Amino acid sequence: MWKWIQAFASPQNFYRISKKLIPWFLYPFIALILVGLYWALIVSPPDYQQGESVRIMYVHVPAAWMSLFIYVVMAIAGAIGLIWQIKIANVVASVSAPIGAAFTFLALVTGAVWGKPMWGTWWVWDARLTSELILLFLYLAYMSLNNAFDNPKTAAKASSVLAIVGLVNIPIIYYSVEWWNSLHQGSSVSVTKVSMQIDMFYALLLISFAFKFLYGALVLMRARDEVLVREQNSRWVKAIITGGKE
Amino acid sequence: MELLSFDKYAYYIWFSYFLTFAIIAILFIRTRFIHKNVITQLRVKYSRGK
Repeated sequence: MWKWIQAFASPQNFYRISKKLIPWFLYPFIALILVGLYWALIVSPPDYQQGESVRIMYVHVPAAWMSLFIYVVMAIAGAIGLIWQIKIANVVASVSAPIGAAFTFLALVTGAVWGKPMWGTWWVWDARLTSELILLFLYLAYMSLNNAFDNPKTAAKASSVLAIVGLVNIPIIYYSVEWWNSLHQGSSVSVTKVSMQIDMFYALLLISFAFKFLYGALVLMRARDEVLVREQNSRWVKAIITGGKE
Repeated sequence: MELLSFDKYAYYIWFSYFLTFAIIAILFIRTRFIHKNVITQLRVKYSRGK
């Protein structure tokens, strides 16, 4: 396993293998998002309390999950890059940040759009909302720090430390509805129980998996370009570009 | 189309889904733009080095 990871982690091998992997993420994303949309907008019933507005949850909740998931991936990749000096780990961390920021932004805006008809306000300085906003700032800070240095190694070190320190915000976001009095509802889905109608759960699950595949495809596509830039002085990159095999 | 009218929440729901797909589209377009930019820059660099 470790040998396979080491072989895959070499920039040249990563570039070659990732090209084959992209369709394995892209096509499931398209299939899952289409079925997920059908389930979210047509099959699933209106909620007995929220009415039709519950359909916003099918994009809001998966986006919020993705914002946390991508941050954890980014911090772990950053830590791997720091400890084992694996170049691809730093590349994965740096290309994940804008995607994570986009999902966090989506979670915040769709949450506000749901909050207006349900709570009567777009925004409250509630623990869950505020900690999610801090997550967006952490992504933006990571991206700024990563672009602030000319040397990619120094940039990766500084931004990885920030990502690791920022991990403390993840349990705060997750448990905020339990630790503080919150207007935000508690989780309806956990590892042990699902407290919602089954078609609602399927819609949530389908779109959630679609977003995971989308993230995989985007990371691979962006990481390939980042690898080309970082390895531009290598012969294999020159051979690929001049040979038109990109 | 009565099926997709969504009562008084239609604007909120359609806006959320529109925003979701707009963000997905932007992520793909930006990725494509970065790719084209990287390839062009590297081609220029290597052609100068010849």
